[in-house]
Amino acid sequence: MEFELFIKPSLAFAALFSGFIFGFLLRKATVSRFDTIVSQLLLKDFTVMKVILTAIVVGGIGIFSLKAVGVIPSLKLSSTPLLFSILGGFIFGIGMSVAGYCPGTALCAIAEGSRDMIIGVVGMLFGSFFFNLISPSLSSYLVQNNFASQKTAGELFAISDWAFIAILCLGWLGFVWAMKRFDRLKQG
Amino acid sequence: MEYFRKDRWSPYLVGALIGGLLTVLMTMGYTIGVSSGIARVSALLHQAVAPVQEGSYFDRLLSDHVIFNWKIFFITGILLGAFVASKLTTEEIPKKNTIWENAFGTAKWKRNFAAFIGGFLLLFGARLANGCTSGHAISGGAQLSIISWVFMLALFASAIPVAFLLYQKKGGNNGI
Repeated sequence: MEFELFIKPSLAFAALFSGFIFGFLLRKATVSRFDTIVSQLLLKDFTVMKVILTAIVVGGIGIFSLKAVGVIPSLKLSSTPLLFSILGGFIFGIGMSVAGYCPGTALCAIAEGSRDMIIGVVGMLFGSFFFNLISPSLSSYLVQNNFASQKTAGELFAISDWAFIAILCLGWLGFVWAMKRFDRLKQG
Repeated sequence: MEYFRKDRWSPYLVGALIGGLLTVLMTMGYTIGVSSGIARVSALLHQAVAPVQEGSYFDRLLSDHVIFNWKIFFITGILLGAFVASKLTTEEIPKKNTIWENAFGTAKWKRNFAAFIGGFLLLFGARLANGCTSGHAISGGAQLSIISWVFMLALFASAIPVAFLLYQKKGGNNGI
């Protein structure tokens, strides 16, 4: 295989810059720390959920609005069989508990000086390698069992995606309210 | 500017800004994703040592025939951004691994071992599901992708019990 070295400089800069912002934000949320992630999993501190749910709600409103006016040409949904998503999520969850990080926050941990996650990323490289080893035997299954893949909630239930955005917004407001109470209780 | 010196920003603010970042990236045809970038590093290392097998996952991953592509620059950016955010912080930083140390002590090899095993499972699971916390939970979640929401539920359904199993009992003062 012949390889080119770089993508276009403008794209490279855009990728570097957006990655920079993402890493900066993750670090400022302190999800670059073992204690923050595992406190979430022990249901003692909900920083991780606060970040994820708010990102989903704001991103959801932004994406579906800009799609409606044509600025975002199409959605970019990941594709995998439903079963693989469940199985992968389960394995990923165990990994998240054991490592104390997910892949993005592990990179931030390294940048913040947590050397253990350098070993963690080496483990990730081997994990990808192992998936690659078994990938040829998965490929036929990947093609055949794709029914929920690349579908939005709206498409699956044949209603407007905006209905789900509205539900998400309400759910988010309820979450924020519950968190206010939870954090007050925690402080004593 | 004072806010940039703080150790911790409001998680709601961070979440909203990440949602904004995702929206902007989608106008360019990209999403936020980390695990495929790490898998790509693994694929490039493989290709450097021996050609990847035809029809394999790595083969598909490298089909754009560029070494330093969008994903590689994106994860490099994450490292830089988190590094700069740390360096800007002037507030005192709390201890970062207290829950681990309460449960398993301060021996480095134990933490490194867990980091390796955890990392292995993270990327294996992420590649099976075709996304991780950023690609599935945030990018897919915001697009209302069914498999992404399923992934998120499965993630917490296993991560929470395992965390209680590993860190709760032995933790002493970790209790709720």
